[in-house]
Parts: sequence; C-alpha cells; structure tokens
Amino acid sequence: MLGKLIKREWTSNYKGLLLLHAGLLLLCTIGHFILAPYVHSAIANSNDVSVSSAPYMILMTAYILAIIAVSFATQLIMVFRYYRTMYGKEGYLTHTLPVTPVQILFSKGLIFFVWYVIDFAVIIVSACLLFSASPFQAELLTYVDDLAAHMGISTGFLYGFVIGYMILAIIYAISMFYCSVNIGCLFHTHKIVASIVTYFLIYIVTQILSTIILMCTSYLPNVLNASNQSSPYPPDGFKDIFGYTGILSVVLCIVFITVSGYISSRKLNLD
Amino acid sequence: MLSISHLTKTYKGNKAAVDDLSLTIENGDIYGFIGHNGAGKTTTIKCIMGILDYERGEITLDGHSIKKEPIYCKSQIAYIPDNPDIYEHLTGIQYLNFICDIYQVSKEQRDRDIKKFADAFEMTSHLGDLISSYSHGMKQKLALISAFAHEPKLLILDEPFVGLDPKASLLLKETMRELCTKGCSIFFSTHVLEVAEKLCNKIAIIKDGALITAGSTAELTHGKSLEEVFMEVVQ
Repeated sequence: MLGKLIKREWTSNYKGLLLLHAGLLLLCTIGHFILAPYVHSAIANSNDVSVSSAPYMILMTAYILAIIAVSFATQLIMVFRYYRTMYGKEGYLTHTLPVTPVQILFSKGLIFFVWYVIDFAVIIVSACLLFSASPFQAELLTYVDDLAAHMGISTGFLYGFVIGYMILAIIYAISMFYCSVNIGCLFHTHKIVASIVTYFLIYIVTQILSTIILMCTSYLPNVLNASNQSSPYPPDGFKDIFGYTGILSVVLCIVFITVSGYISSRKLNLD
Repeated sequence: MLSISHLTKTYKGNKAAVDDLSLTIENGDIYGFIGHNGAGKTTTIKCIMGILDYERGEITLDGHSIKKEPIYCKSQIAYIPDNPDIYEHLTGIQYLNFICDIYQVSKEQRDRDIKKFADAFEMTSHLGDLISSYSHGMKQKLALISAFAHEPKLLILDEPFVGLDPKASLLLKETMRELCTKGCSIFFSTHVLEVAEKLCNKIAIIKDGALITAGSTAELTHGKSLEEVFMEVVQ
C-alpha cells in the first residue's frame, strides 16, 4: 500500500523536476567548457584566477542564480503539490483512500526528501563540473582535511557528520513546510496566505529558540572573540552547538510531524 | 448499514449547516438525498466521508465509527463528489490501477471490471490518455469506473448525473440497480427529482440543514409526484 502511494507521489512530478535539474547540469557542463580554457590560462600565468573578468563573473552569476532558481522551484513545486493533494482540489481523493495519515505523510515526505537529495547532488556535481579546472577544488579538499585535524576527528567522520546533519536539516525543512500548510489550512479562507504566514511565524519562533540556545552556551562569546582573530577555523564550541541545535531540530521535527498528523487525521476540513 | 445519528455541523460564525440529522441506510438501499442548493447535502456527505469535521453526532458503518475506525470505513465506501478532480498527471488506466492497488483488487477482477465498465461508458479508447486532457464528463465516468471496480459496500455520490451524457446516465442508473441487487447500498444527492423518484427506494429531504422527511419513496409520495411532495415540504 505504502509502496503504491510512494510510486504515485514520484510519478506526479518527476518529469518536470528531472528536466529542471538536467537543465542545471547542462548549464554547468557548458560553463565548464567555457571556463576551463580561461582557468588553465590563468593557472599557467599566475596560478591565480582573476575573478573580475567578465566571462567568469557572468558564468558565476548565472550558476548561482540557476542553483537558487532550481532549489526554490523544487521546494515550491513540492509544497504546492502537498497543498493541492491534501487540502486543494484533490484533497478529497487523498483523504478518502483507505490509508492512514501516517502513510500519506510518509509517502509525500519521502519523495520530497528524495528531491531535496537530488537537489544537493546536482548542485555538488554542478560545482564539481564548474570548478574541475580550478585550483579552488584542491584548496577546499585540503581545508576540509585541516579542519578535521583541527577538530580532532578524521576527515571521514567529518564528512559523515556533515551528511548526517544535512539529512536532519532536510527532514526538518520538510516537516516545517508540511506543518505550516496543515496549520494554514485550518483557516476557512485564504488558506495559502495563512500557510505562508504560519511558515514565517514558525521560522521566527525557531530562530529565537536557536538564539537562546546560542546564548546559553559558550559559543556566542567565542564567535564574537573569534571575529577579531584571523583563524580560518570555526571557534571553540563549534561541535557543542551542532549538538544542541541538532537536538532542537529533532525535537521540533517530532512536534511538526505530530501536529501535521493530528490535523490531517482529526481536524480535517475540506469545506 | 450506514447510520447517521444526530449529526450537527456548524461553519464558524454561521448557523448549523447540518442540524441534528439522523438517517439509516440499509443494505441494498438506493437512497436519494434531495434539497435546495445550500440545504446541507454536500456537507452531510463530506461528514460521512470523514473529510469534514463535525461537532456533534455519530456516523457508523456496520457499527464501525467513521471517526474511530476511518480506515475500515473508507475501505468499504466509494465516494464521487460533484466535481471529481482526479490526479491529472496519471493516465486513465494508471489511475484505475492505482485505485485497484489501494483497495487490493485482484488482477483478474480488475481486468474484468475495468474492461466491462470502460467499454460500457465508452472510455476504453481514452484510458491511455492523461486525465488532464479529459472533459468533466470523462473524469466523472473514470471516477465511476474506479468506484465500481473495487466493489464497495456503500457508494456515495454527490450529484452524479450532472455532466453525464444521456447514455452514461442511463448506464449509471442500471449499474446502481445492479449493484444494489448484490447488497451494495447507494446514497446520492440530486436535484433531478424524476430520477430520484424512479431510481430510489428511499428518499430523504433536507432543508436548511434539518431533515424534513425521510422514508420509502412509496410512503413519501402516496400517489403524488416527488416534485409535488418536495414543493409541499420545503415551502
């Protein structure tokens, strides 16, 4: 049953989104071929890429705008799809199927998660394509090794930690999107506006909570002190703050998912 | 089979859209639900389907509460709203297979029933097309085929004859009768009183959210036309 729901979720948008991401990869592939000769020439002359040159600036601007556009479009499409199939025209169909709200939320959340991961993967591949001819890539890898050594952990552990944190961040973002739409749709009119307002309210509240946690730990004073120093590494307390915000994210994820499940099962109003 | 007891639904800031409504639909009933626009028919149907929360009352299917055991109830009911918006990214056949998968219809049964009803509704040649290209009537036909394909115990239809061509309307009426001989119950709202009078063995009339009268068609009409009875009771 769940597999069928997941399959249907996937087939709902994959063509458009695949096209969008393929477009980004194509842009970066073209960018790579445009950039490569220029970067090779710069490396041969001074081992320094002049970032002020017109082709470089245009390419970088286009690349950054494309990433923002693709990420934003992916999120917008997935959130709008959630709204449409849960509370919009197709809502009646979703909620009259003999499946649990948990199965519905999970199937939608999983496909959103997959698209988020594809988004990240495409961005990383795009960046690799774009910078494969640049010394920046090697410098970044060296910096990661140095950072891991500075933190007293292995590079592999650092990569694992970052990936784990990214997974948590994606789940957090999805559950917050869904929770906002579910709360917004409790209103009888202007449901989309109410969902957007709810999202920003939740965002503000969670930022306040994060700031309070920062202030309660030693990290904030360390950041302020570090701003006067020239160290390339994050200040002390870096690992702790990830722990605290990680716990906060997990707790908030549980709250968001519980609220979404409760509303879609007990407070449904498809009027 | 379906029991609605003292159902009350109020939209915020307004008077009750459905007020203390009680009805019982037995196995094999074709139950017509008639009333003016805004009388509370669609609200009642949405409450039965569990897509609209209500303040008071109890709705049960075979003794199972729609609120406490929604999965059981939904697995026994097929619902088609007045304006069926179906997943538009799917083709007709993909949608039918999806519904059959969810309701766990065997391959033999789905192949047989989809062919039978798609042929009858002249939809076979359109099943490979995207639903987004369908007209309102075609979407309604597809929704009907999907409902018939999983053999529900209770079929709930909101204005099922609106948008259907005469041939499809006739076929729907015949299929409704056929399903009821097998023990299925049908509860549908309509404005077409002639259809209700000919098709239904029971009728309920609702006005301003309150049930005015309900019972067997023969008892209600007493030799009069349903139109006359309806005009008498709602005025």
